[in-house]
Amino acid sequence: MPDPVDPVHFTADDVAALQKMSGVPLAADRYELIAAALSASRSAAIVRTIEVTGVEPALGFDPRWT
Amino acid sequence: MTYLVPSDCTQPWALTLTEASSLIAAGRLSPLELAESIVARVEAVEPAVSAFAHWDADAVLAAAQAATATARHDRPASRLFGIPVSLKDLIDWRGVPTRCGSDALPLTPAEADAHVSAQLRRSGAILLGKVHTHEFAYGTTTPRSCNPHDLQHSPGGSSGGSGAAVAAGFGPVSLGTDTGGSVRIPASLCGVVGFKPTAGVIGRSGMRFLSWSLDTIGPLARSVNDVAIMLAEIAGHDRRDRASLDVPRLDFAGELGRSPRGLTVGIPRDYFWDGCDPAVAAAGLAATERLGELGMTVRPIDVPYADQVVGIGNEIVSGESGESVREAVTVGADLIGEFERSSCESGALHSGVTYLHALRAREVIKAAWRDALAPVDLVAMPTTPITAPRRGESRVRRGDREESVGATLIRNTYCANIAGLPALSIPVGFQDGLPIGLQLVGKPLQDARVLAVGHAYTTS
Repeated sequence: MPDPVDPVHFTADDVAALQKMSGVPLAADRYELIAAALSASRSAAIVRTIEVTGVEPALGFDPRWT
Repeated sequence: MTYLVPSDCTQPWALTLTEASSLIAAGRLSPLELAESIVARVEAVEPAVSAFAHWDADAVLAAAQAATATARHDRPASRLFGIPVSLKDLIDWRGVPTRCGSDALPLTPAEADAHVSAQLRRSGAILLGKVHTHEFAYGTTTPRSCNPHDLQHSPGGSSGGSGAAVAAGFGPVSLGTDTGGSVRIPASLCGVVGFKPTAGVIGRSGMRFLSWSLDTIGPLARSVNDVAIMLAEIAGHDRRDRASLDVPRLDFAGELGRSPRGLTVGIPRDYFWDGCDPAVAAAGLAATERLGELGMTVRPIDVPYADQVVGIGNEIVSGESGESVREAVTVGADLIGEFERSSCESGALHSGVTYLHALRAREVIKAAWRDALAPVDLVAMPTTPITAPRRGESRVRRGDREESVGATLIRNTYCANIAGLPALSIPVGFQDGLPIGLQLVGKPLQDARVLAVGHAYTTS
């Protein structure tokens, strides 16, 4: 299994770019804090270590699994 | 000093739901006598524990008076008749504000009951009050509440007010919600029983979501039997919740009292036990040995991708919370705690591609759990790797690692939300006066079997 600890580090500039794309209203003086929150999750990198080719995304629980 | 329910206490507020219900049905205890006792308990102890976000003693007593009048003429409508039940402050109650533990949300009263609140009223339960949640349910400590076992420690979260209330004797049962462990974690840290049913078993319309695809409503109580009674009254299809299962009603109490002899419990070989506090691991292992003494076969199992689950869960919660709490973050951002605010703001910047990737990875996790559960009936592990952290503590040691309190507390519970499985936390011991919980995870829709094993352990 690939090493799950592969953190993605976000900077204030990254947050500024994301903010511009999304249009979400965020104060510029919070970019550093938001970058830290994004970095702390590291989840983007962790999720990509699972091979999902051919797997359909689904919401919730499928009761047929019994 | 602790503020727990003493085992030798004979006051009505110390009764379990099962005991109180039986006494009411027999005419030996009136709903008013029960409510008066609980109100007195709350008013004496709440200043120390701080479980309630909304408390109106006069309204509780008026409802109990009405129930007592009804009981003079009619048989109780259900086992919940006259029983005070508290609600996490994420669940709508007509005429009372739902603030999700946040000053950023308005004091506007809810216009209608949530599905479960309406079910409780139909059953004759008395809505006791709203209890604290970690802000937006986005955390595991519930800073506004204290742990009745030791006020210097956290009750856990996000349903920390529910755990504290049940442990302190503020009503025998409380309804919480569970996104990644938010019913089971406070149950474990407060020494009570907490149950997250199979996803879709309890209707969620009228609750405020953190994560639409992961959130589940579940009860916290002082016995497994109490949990089963509660579920029997509130479970069922909710046509306003698109994730609600339209399946035949489950018989939650159907297997209670049946011997677990012949069932098999799987013990994961690693991950869920790695870095556990030695006292927690010892209590967990002793509890699994006890299950063996009760006739269950205990065998080791492997659960693939266990170390990936928290990352996948965070990805899903981040993406969904970015939408679900967006308005509050936009309108009242300055009133939100810094951690919760930056978490929600970062969610609003979430990549749709990454979110979909997480949903696909979730299917891999579901398949891993389906395979892991195939040769066993349920899986056992410590609910949390540590006992209750001190209030205000943000980082703790788990084995030779230092990590955030949130990452530690959610480590063993997230899997049941990702895979949609029923999971129960039961008290199995203490370390330095703080409770230890064991988690039992079962197959989907086999909630009754999980409850039966928990009942067998806790009554043995």
